[in-house]
Amino acid sequence: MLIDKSIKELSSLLKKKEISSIDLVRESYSQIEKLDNKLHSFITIRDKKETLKEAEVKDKERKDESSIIYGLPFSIKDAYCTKNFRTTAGNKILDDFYPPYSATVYKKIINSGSILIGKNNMDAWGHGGSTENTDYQPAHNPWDLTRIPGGSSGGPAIAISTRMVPFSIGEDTGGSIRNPSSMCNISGLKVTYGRVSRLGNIAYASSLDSVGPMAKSVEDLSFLLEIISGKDNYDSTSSRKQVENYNQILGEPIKGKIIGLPKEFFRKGLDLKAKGTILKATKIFEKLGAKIIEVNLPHFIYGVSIYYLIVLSETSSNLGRYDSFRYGGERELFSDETKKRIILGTYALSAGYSDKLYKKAQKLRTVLIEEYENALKKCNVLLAPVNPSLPSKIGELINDPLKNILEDLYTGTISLVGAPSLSIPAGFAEGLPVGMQIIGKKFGEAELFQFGYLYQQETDWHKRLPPILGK
Amino acid sequence: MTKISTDTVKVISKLAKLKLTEEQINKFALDLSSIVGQMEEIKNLDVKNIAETARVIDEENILREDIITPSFNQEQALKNSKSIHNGYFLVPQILKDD
Amino acid sequence: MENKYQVIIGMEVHVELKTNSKMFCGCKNDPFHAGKPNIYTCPVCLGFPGALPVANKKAIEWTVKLGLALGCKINKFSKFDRKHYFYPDLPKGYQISQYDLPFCYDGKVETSFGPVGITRVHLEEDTGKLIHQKIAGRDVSLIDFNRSSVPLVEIVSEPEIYSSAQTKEYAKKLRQIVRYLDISDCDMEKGGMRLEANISLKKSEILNPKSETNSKFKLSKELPNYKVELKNINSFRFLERGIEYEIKRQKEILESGKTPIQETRGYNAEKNITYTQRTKESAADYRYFPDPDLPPIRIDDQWMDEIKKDFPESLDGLFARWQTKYNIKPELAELLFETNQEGQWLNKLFKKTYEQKLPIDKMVNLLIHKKIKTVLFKDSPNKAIEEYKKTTVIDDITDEQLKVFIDKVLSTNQKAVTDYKSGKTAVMNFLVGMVMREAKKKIEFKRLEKLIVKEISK
Repeated sequence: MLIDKSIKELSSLLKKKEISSIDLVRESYSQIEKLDNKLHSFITIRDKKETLKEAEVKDKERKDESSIIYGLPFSIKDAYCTKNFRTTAGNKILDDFYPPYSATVYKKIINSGSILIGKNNMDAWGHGGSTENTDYQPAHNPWDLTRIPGGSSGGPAIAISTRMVPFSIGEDTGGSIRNPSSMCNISGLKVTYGRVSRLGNIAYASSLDSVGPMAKSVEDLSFLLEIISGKDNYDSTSSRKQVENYNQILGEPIKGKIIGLPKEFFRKGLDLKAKGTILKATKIFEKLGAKIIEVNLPHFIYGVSIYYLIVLSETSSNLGRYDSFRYGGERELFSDETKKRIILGTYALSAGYSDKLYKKAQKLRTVLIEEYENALKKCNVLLAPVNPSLPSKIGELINDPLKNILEDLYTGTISLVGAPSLSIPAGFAEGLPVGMQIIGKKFGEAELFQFGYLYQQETDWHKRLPPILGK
Repeated sequence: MTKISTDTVKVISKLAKLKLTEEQINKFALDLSSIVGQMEEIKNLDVKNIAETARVIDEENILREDIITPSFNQEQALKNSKSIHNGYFLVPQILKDD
Repeated sequence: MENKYQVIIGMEVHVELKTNSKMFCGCKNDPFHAGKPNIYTCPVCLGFPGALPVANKKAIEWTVKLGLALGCKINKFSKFDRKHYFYPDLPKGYQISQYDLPFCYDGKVETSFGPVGITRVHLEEDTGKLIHQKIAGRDVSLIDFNRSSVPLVEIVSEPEIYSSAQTKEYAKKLRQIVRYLDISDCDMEKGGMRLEANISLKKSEILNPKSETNSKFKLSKELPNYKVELKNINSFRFLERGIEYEIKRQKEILESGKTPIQETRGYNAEKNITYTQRTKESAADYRYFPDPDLPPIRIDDQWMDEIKKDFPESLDGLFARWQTKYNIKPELAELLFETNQEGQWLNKLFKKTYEQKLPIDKMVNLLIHKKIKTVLFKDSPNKAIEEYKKTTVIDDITDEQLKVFIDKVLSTNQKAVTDYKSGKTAVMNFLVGMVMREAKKKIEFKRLEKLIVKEISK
C-alpha cells in the first residue's frame, strides 16, 4: 500500500518516477470505494476522471524542486471553502453551497501541487466530538465500527487512519483535531492561534478556531505546517511571526528538557486504562533523557465550563449569518445539537446573564492563561491525555448532553490559552487507540515536533493499522 | 433543577431567530439546564480585578491601507442565492419604512 | 396653572465616510454611483462563510480627526465589537461597531443657543440597502449590498439640546465640520448623512417665561422616563418641523395626564406629521462582545502626531481670524466653502486680496454669488484676482482723466442733465453707463456717480 508510506518517501519515489501521482490517486479511490460506505469519512468526493487527469498533469510537470507534497492526493475537512466545490460544514443548510472563493490553507496546499480528493465529514459547524452531529451520516471508528471516530474532524482522521489519503487538513476549536487523531491512531496538530490563516474556514468560535494538519506521523506534520503557516493579509488574526523550518529540528535530542504533567489532568474523570497508557509514555521520554515533573493548573478543572461559555457565545454570533437570503437554506435546518448551542450562547451573552456567564468566563480565561504561562516557566512542554475516556459507542454522547461536553475537558482548556498541542498515538487500551497531547509554548510547534518525532522513533503505535484494513 | 425554563428557551430562541417546536422547547430546557448547572461551577470563583480576555493574540493595529481590491461581479455575488430579482437579493417583506 | 414643558433632545447622527474602499474589505466605497446592485461586493461584505474583516486604517484616522475637531478625548486603546440583531440588510447577523471603547468621547459643539456635549464618536459599518416593492402582487424587499460595510461614523450628543431651532443648528454645524474635514459628502438625500433625534418633554419651572435661551430654565439633571426616537429625516428643515410637531404632540399627551409611548417615529413631509414606525416592546438586546476577528487598536503618540499633522485649523478659529483680520462676518464665511481644502484656497486668496489693497468685502460678495468660481482660485489666487478685476472696477484711471469723458457725456446729453436736476435721479444709471462706454472701461459706479454729480452741480 503506497499511501502507508511517509510524505518524504512518497515524494522521493515520485521524483525518481518509481511511482506516479496516478498510482496514488487510484489507490486513494480504491480505499474510499472499499471502505467509506462503512466509515463515512467523506461528504463530497471529487470526480475520479477529473483527479486522474490532474494527476497526469502533475506527473508530467513534476520537477526536482517541486514541493514535497507535489502530486500527493489529500482531503480537507468540509469546514473549508473550496471555490466552486461544494462546502457544507456538515449541515444541510449549506447542502448546495458552492463557495465563490477558497480558504487560504486550501490555496496553499493546491499551490504546492497536491490533488484534492474530497471533503471530509465532520460534526456540523464543529459542534461535537464524535462526528455524529452531521447531516451526512454519522462516521464510524475504523478500529471498532460500533464506536465514534472522535470529532469534529472525524472525517480526516478516518481517511488517514485507513490510508485513503496521506494527509488532510482539519480544524481544531476545542479538540477537533486532537480528539479524532487520538481515537483513530493518527498524528494531528492544533497550532498556536494565529499560526495558520483562518480565512475561508467556516467559523465555529473565532477566538479559538485553528487550522491544522493531520497525518500519519510527526515527520509528515512538520512538512505540512511549514507549507500552510504564515501571515495572511486577509486574516487580521494571523501572526506575522516567522515560519520556521520545522523539519530541520527533527532528531535533535531532548536530553535535559523538562516535561510537566498537569496534576489536574490526571485526576478523577480520566479513564484508568488511558491514564496508564500515557504514564507509560513518560517512561519513553525519560529514556530519551527528559525529566518529568508535576505542575499545577488549578483553574483548569473549571476549564470546560469556561470553554463552553466562550465558544457557544461566539458560535451563536458566527451562525447569525445563515439566514438563507444570500446562500444556503433556512435556519430550521440546524440540527438540534447546533440549535441548543446557539441558544446557550445567546443566553450567555444576553442582558442580565452576560456578566455572570460570558464576561466571567472571559476573566477566567485570563486566569487560565496565567496559570499556563507559569507552568511553562517550569518546563518545556506539558504532557496530558487527549480524551477522558476511550472512544464511546455511537449514540452515547449525542444523547447525553453533559457527558458530550465533558469530553472536551483536556483539549478545550488548552485551546482557550491559544497554545499549540500535538496529539500522537500513545498506545492501546482494549484494542482501542489512546492518544496523548504534548502542549507547548505559543509558537513553539518546533519543540513539540522534536518531542513527538523522537517518541515516534522509539515506538511504533503510530504505524499500526486498523483491523478493517486487514493484513 | 430547572435552571433554564421553557419560557427562557422561548425568549432566547426568538432572539436567536430559531423557530422551535413545543417538543424541542421542552427537551432543550431540560438539556440546557443540566449544562448550565455544570457551568455554574464558576459562580463562586473570585475574579475581582481580573481583566477579560477576548483574544489570544498579542498583535495590535492590524489594518489595511485604503486601497480598492477587485470585487465579485453581480453573478458571483448572487449565484448561491435561491431568490433573486434584477440583480438584487429578494426577501419577503419584513418591515416597511425602515 | 398651565404646565410649562421643556423639550430635551439628544441627537444621533450617522455619517458615511468617503474612503476609497469599504470599512472591512477592499470593495469600492461608492454605493451611490454603482450603476448596478451588488457589484461592489465580496465574501466579507456579503457575510459569506469563512470571510474575515480587516479594518481600514484611513477610516479610523478620519474618525479620530472628526473627534479632534469636535474637541473629543481620544481613546488610546480601542476595539471593535459585534452588535447583534437580525435584519435582511445586515449580512452577518451582527454589525461591527464599537461598544465600550469608542475612538472618541467627551466633546462639544458650540451653537448660538449654547454648547452641546458630544457623548461619543464611534466607527462602524453600514448595512446594505433595502428597497420595498410589490412584485407579482407580493410585498417583497430587494437587497443591494453595495453599501454594506461602508465606513459609518456615529456622533452621539448629550441630551443637551433644548429647541428645534437649536437641533437644526447643531446638525448643520456638524455637517459643516464633517465637510470641512473633507471626510464625507454628507449627502442627506441619499442617506450619506442620517439624522435621529431623541425627543422628550419634561415639566419645568421657567424663571423668565419670555426668555428664549435655555440658560434661564431651571433644569434638574433628571431626564423624562420616556423618549421618542424620530428617524429617517433627510433634511434640516424636516428635522426642525418634525421636532416641532413632536413637541406639540407630546405636550398634548402630557397635558391629558398620560406619558407618550417610547417608540420610533418617522416624519411625513407632505402631511407635516410624525407617525409610529416601531414600538419597542422591550429594549433591544444587542449582545455586544469584542469581535475576535479584529485585533485591538492602539493609537500611540507617533500615530496621533501623524493624524494631527494634516489636521486643519479649526473652523471656528478660521472664522475668528478672518473676522479680525479681514472683517469677514462668520455667517458670510460659512457660505463660502465646505472643505478644509477650499478653506485653505480661500485663505490664500484673501491674503493676496488684502496685500493688493483690494476691498475684501467685494471679493466675498462675488464669491457668495458665485461670480468667482472655486475652480478659479483652486490653482492660484491670481486667477481669481484677475477675474475680480474684470467683473468689478478698474481703478487705473484718474479723476482728471475721467473728467474729460464726463464733460463730453454731459455736453452731448443735456436732456438727461436737466432730468436729473429736476429730480429724476434714475437717469444717473444712463449717465454712468455712457461715461464707461466713452472711457471703454469698467469703473466703480459710486465713484463715477460722485464725480458726475459734482460736475452737474457745478
